[in-house]
Amino acid sequence: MRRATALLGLLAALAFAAPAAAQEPDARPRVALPPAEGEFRPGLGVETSHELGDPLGRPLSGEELDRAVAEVAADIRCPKCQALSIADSGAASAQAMRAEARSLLSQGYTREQVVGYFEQRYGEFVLLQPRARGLNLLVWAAPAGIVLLGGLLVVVRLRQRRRSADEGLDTYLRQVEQETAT
Amino acid sequence: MNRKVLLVGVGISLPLLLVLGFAFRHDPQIVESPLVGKPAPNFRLADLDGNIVDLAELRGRPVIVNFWATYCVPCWAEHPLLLEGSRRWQGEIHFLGVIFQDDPDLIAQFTAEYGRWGPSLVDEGGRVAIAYGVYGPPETFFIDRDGVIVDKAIGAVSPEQLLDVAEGMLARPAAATG
Repeated sequence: MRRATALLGLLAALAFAAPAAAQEPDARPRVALPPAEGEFRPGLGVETSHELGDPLGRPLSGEELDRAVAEVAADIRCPKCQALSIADSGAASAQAMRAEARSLLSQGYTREQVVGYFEQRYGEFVLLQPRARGLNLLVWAAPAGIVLLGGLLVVVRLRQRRRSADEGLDTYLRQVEQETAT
Repeated sequence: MNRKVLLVGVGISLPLLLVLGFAFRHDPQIVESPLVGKPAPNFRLADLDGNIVDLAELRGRPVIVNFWATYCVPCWAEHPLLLEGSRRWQGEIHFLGVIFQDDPDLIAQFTAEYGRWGPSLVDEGGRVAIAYGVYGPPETFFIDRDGVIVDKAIGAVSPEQLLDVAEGMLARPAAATG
């Protein structure tokens, strides 16, 4: 009873406020905050160190850092796009994720740690190439299995056909031998 | 021969049907968050007035963190519900908004016009959104008294989910205080 009353209250809030909420926000310009590349206001932000652990690599910089960022970005799916990596997308989310990857790699986190961090946050879906384990193994095993099965079927059918052709020839030869003997 | 063809057909189509049946049980748009059941990433952000909000300091009381933007229509739709929720559980549950790739001025205009259910925090560089694995607004995270994410809503939160999860969080005492 108490739950029903509370639910009614919440539904009423939605119903009575619907005209205001139903207005399309198209009159307002869309402005995306440009993600800062590596530089964030000191003291503000999110704590990631306890989730990532200690950096297992060495801090990267310059071209080496650019290369590492590009490699990591190529493996990570852009969350706002269809089958695009964050390296290939210009979406604000992709830019923010590239900036995060750059920041972590420059602190000495390894590529595996950075990719693992994104996977921890977004789930395995964020990896453009799923990990080869569990049910995912089907993705690798199924095509090979189907090719093998198909090959096996072809071999069996060819053998069956050859056997029946041989049997037909034997019968014919026997018939010829019988007729020539008489 | 017909029986063989039938068997081969069943052998090929049955696994495909099973895979499709399994896949259709889930909405492909919804990606389960690996963060549910895990400690909420701690953040320290400034609201539109420059006041600092530190998630760790709110421990002991449930927190509802909503990632939103003014360009997101479902965010508009759920706004009255969050307003009502923040009134209903005032002093019991913290409601925090994190701005997802939007202009703080537009957020300020919106909240001035339609009301404010909690501070709107500026997420510079989108690092908090990444730490929470946000795909797009709105996404709502329900954090219990111990700082653990107990549930997540993708898209506009429903009244049923808000009520059930909020009351569930309030009913459970913090593990530390027992």
